[in-house]
Amino acid sequence: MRKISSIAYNTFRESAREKLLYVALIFGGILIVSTFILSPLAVGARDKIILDVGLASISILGVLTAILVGSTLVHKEVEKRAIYIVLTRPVSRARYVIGKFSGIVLAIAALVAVMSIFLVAALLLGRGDLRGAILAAVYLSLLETMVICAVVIFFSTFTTPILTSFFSLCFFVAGSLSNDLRAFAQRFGGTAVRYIVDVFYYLLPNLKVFNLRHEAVHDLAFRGTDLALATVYAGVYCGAVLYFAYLVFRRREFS
Amino acid sequence: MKRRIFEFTAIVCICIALFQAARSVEDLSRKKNQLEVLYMPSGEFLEQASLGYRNLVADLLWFRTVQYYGGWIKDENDLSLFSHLIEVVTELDPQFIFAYTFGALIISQDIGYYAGGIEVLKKGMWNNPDNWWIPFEIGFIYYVDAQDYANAERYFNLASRLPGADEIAKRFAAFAAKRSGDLEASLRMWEDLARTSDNPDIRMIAERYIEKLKSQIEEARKK
Repeated sequence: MRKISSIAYNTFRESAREKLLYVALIFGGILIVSTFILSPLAVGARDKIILDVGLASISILGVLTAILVGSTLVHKEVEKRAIYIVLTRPVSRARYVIGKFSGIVLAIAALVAVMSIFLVAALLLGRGDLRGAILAAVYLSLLETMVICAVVIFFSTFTTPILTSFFSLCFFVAGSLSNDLRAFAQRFGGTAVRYIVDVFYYLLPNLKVFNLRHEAVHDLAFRGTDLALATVYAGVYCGAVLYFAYLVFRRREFS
Repeated sequence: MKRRIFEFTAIVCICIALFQAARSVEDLSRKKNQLEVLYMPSGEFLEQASLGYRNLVADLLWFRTVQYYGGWIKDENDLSLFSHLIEVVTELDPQFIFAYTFGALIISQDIGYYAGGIEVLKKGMWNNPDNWWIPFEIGFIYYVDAQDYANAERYFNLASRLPGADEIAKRFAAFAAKRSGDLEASLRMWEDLARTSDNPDIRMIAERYIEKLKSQIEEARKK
């Protein structure tokens, strides 16, 4: 456990040194604050727009930062040969993968936390309501980012940073559309197409379960069990993807 | 020194060139803006394309809708595509109550197509059955524009029974029951609406129509 936490801590420190993280933070902050300033132009929909933009920024910037920062992490260590120092010590490759994943999740969680503070500040300045559903939506966005982090770690174990970013982004898009693709195939596809799409549907992350933004903005009812279910789903999905990442990484030889 | 003067002159020239270039494409960009509204895809398509960020897309379109309405005030368009914009915005975000109420008011009052306004509000009622303001506004349009007092009374009564309904709904139901459909009654209803609404934009529209009705009443008295 100590070995995992020290790898995680180092990954967190390494990610925190990335300028991109600060760019995302500043960009998110500006976006949320500017919504507050520009809200008079929204004609009657100020609070809604502050919340919409705030929650969407947290989700989009979280995912993009996870992809862009995460894709270079393993590659950099290989390039700088730092990975030799780590792996020649009594650290298993499984621990290395879990440590890397935990570190990047910590870094993204810190980013999400700071952006959430911006959002809460903008809401309180605009005398908007701070509801439990808003915090639940932020929590689900963090789970979504966690799933993407696992996917990024998986690809980064065997391919280049550019391809890792590209594949992870494709996963994100496909995961957001998986429900619609399945519905489309069930309506118009033949039996074979339906089976193939079904396989993809279960393999791809179902990112719709992490979207509570609409309910949070309009103060609609949501069930606590849905949150618990999404948490379990994220845990299982991350575990599975990280296990595949470990299987690939275990076979990889560094010369 | 010479070099500095040259650089300064170059910067000034580049700034002027940029400014002129931006001005020369101003008309083109306005035309493109209109075309974008004209060829706006359906809400269903945009919902799929938004990758789960449909509220954000609805907000961006809402800004466009407000701009388009502002363009009508400045005589830049004839509001012919306004209904389409409201349709797309409310399809992307079916709980966006203000888009229904504001949109219906513009369609019925500024475009003069009260049936279209009622249609927008009925869609809003379907998606938000607990909101009292939407049936209230339907009753209002039935009373003021369609002079259909039976339907107006029905919707005012429906609004008054919904959670959080204001006293104004019952009062308007009584107005409609009297079927007094004259300009004075319409004026009183607009005045009540301007006083009761907590939304400054609805109040602004109501005040505009109060002025209009007052001048109509004045003209009728002179005749």
